[in-house]
Amino acid sequence: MNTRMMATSAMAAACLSGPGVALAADWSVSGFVRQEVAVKTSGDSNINNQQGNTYNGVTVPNTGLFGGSITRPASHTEDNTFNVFQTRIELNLDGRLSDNWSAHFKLRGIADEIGQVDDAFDKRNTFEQKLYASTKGTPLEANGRQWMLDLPVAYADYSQGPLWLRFGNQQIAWGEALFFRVSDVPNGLDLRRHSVLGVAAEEYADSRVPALGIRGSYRVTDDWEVEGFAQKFQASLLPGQNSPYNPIPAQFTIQERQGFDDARNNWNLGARVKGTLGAFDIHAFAVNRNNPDGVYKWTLAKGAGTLPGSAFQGGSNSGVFSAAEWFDYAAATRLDGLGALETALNEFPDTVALGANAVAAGCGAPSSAVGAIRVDQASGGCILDTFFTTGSLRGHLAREYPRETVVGFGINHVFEGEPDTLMDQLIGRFELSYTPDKKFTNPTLSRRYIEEDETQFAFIFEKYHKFSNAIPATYMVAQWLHKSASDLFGRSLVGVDNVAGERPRGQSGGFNAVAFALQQPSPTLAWRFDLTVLTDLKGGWLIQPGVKWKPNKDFQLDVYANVIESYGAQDNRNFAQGLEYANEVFARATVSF
Amino acid sequence: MHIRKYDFDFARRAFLGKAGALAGAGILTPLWPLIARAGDITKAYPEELLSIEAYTKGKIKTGDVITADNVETVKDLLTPIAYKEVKEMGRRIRIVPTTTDITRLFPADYLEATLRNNGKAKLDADGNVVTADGQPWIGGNPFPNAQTGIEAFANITMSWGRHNNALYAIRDWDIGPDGEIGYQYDFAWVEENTIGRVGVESPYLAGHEDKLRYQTVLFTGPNDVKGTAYLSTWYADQRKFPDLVGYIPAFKRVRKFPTNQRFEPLVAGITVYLSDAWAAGDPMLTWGNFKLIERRPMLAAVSDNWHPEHPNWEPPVHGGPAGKTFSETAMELCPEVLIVEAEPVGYPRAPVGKKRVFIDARNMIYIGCHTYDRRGELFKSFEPAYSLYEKGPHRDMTGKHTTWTWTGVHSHDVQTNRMSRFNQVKSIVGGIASGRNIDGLYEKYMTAQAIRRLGA
Repeated sequence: MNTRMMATSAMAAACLSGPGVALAADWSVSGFVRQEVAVKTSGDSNINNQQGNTYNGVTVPNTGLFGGSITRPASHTEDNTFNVFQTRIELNLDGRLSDNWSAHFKLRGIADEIGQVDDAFDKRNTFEQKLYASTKGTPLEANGRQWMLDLPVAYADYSQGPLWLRFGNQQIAWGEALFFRVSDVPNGLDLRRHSVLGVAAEEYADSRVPALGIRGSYRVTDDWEVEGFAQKFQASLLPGQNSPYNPIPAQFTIQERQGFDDARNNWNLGARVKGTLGAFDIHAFAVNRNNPDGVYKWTLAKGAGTLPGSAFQGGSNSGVFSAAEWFDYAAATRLDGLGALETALNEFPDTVALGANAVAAGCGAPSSAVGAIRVDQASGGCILDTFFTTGSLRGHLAREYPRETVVGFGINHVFEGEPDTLMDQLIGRFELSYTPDKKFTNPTLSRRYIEEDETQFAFIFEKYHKFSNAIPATYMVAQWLHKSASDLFGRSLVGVDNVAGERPRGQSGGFNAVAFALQQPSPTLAWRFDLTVLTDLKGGWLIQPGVKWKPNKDFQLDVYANVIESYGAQDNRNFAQGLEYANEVFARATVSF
Repeated sequence: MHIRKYDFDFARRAFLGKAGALAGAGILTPLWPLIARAGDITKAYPEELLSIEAYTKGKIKTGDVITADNVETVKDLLTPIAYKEVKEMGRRIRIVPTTTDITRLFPADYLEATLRNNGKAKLDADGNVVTADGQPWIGGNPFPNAQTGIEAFANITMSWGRHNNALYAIRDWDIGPDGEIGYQYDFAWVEENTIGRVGVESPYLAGHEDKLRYQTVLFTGPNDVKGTAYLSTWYADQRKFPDLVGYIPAFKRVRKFPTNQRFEPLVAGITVYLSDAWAAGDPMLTWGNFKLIERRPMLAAVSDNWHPEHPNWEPPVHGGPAGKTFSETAMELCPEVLIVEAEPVGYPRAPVGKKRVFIDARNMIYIGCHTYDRRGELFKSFEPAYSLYEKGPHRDMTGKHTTWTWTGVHSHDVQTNRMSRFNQVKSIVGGIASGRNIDGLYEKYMTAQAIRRLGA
């Protein structure tokens, strides 16, 4: 304990009666313990997991050169009741070190107990990621497959007059839009806990992945501020294989190491100018970064059972078993099942030695030339099933993080109107970002990534409107997002509109999403009723109604539902198709201290 | 020895006459010339208005405690809700002597500016307070001898805390109808006047002359609200709504918010609205129909309310079903209180139909505020306590002078019987300590950059 803390220790007792627990006048500890449970309300399982694979126990004809049939083992199948069953503890330590310096830490610990209550997930990997060391997703974390402990906040602040500097592990959030990440580009996301399906009103507070770095801002005038950051690259983190929200089919092995090692010592750099012009607030920014979400391509398989020189590994009994499964899963993940096969053969010359070209010729492929195999649905299925005849094959993918520059601007304005009218205090916002030559995962999983300029913009309207003097104002926000080259999850639009066994038709005109949200608190704010609606105008809907109840200072209960529906032709045109397994009711009971 | 030539009803008759004539403060002689000459109010009022013992014909004496047993004696000196609290809820009020030394009712610099600038203020064509030559206000009470409702409101609006800036470290307890503490918050209320500054070279903060003040509210505890902050930028033109930006921990960034929803709790369980602050929490001209409806003596908590005996200045509590509803409060007989009404004409959906503000004529600070719902029923009481910060060997200083500031507030929603009582304490969770006229306060708390930095 330093001198200052000792001198103020008397204050500690005084503050013990207050919210949080003061260690001394300048340090305080607070936090909470929370139980989070999500119960599935759909009959669907996550098809990306072995236990939810739609081909488990299904016998399909072997369309390969040897004929017969193929059956994916039914033993993989296990239905789940829960999507989330986690206990979380968060401890905050905040220190005011001097007039200019402060320090802040948050320790977050999560025990994922879903495997204990739901056999479907007893083989899951929820948290381990092979980025830092052999299992860690971020540098300041310890974890196992079913638990994690990390420091999402570990920084020191320095402020002196108009200057502010923040050193350490920190989130940086930019932008006008909520949920839509047009300008919110400094950090990636850590989706290992509740994916993107948590309380919409909390946006990405728990999932925006922090990174080590320095952020600084200087107020040039009272109205203008310049800001910059330099952060060590930190990849976005996805839920692990066979965990409830796993987005990558478990028949793939993702090789993280090489791509991550290539980027891990890079620094993302960003600058922003914010200010006021008349009645408008504006900002403009530029960020040069390694795209934290990364892009994927076929890579040489490793490990026992590898087909030499190829992207495939046999002998696991957990890969793709049939051409039908291949095509279905390719379409569901917005990949090109035919193109991905061609690429897996053409970009790996050693597959010639495996007989790829001979098989292609035998199957009647339009082209079986070395390095130029072309397939159609029949020959592609034939080639695949021929190779699957000896058993399933796992596909190996590499994830890389291309460097890119994102520039953009935003503007907002508070409209004035007659009291109690729609225009009165309506806040209008617009923001746009542009990424030249942005690289996207090629639906063929080729090492030649799709490279396309991407423009994103969002219009946002926010309004607090008082419908009655007996209740607080209702908060409403409407947003329109447009992305020129990718969908809600950043997948190239080339892979959209995708029927199994066919090449994807793609989506022209860009991706659009419209969201509407409202919040209605009770008179004492002890209750808050939320409703969020998101649609991509292509038949995909996410509706999240919910209620937050805070009856006293220590306890809070949140109960929400995720209603995910895919309407219209089920040809992988909307974001919801494949996500219906996440229809759920989730509850969080929190005790704060 | 005070003048006894006036009979007991003299004061009442005199006040009845004054209300109609909208005369200035003082019964025997105008108050402010007297203050300017001697800093003492004694000669302005008959003894019955300077002594609770005289006023109650000996039934209540200094040092007595008002309880349900004797509250009828002073019923006409209390606000309706304070009376109800004593009569029905077990509230106790300690009686202290009437303050006659005006210097004990003001921050020193503010009093000096009030005296120096007396007579220099006017309301311009828009209703804003300006100097005679139309410049932004230059400090102190613009209308120390207020004779209209709007002049009285101007006094409580133009400078809230009467220092150029202040950081109030506030600990709040929110008590439900069962008398138990349901919610508890620590927050900092930070304010900086940009015009009407006192005790400094210029009354204006250079470059901010079009503003009236900056004000930030920052929650530091408990955990679920820690880091939540709102920054209001008030314009000198009191017809305009403030600009409002906020930092919500979930969003991790500062965003602009609409500013006209000012009649809602700040956080769950609290009964305090932005509109309640200082009984003048909204720009003055967004309200209207100001009326000075009465002048009369009242009991008010304007002295001896600091509790340095507690290491964090927290007062003892009592009353209510669980003995936790009320902070200990000392009140004195205020010889003259202006009762002013206003209506929220700029807020058609406000739950408030009107407010009635009780303003001490000596220093023009509000000593109580009652709001009424749209049906005209009593809704809330917002009752502050003030003090010179000296007690026995304890003294808190603001610059070279003993601190004068507020010490606590009872915010009582009588329709739901929910009480928020909060106090200015020495420091709150997060290590934020109360202070006034602090160098660099604007930079540290009242910019968008600052609330982003302070946010969790």
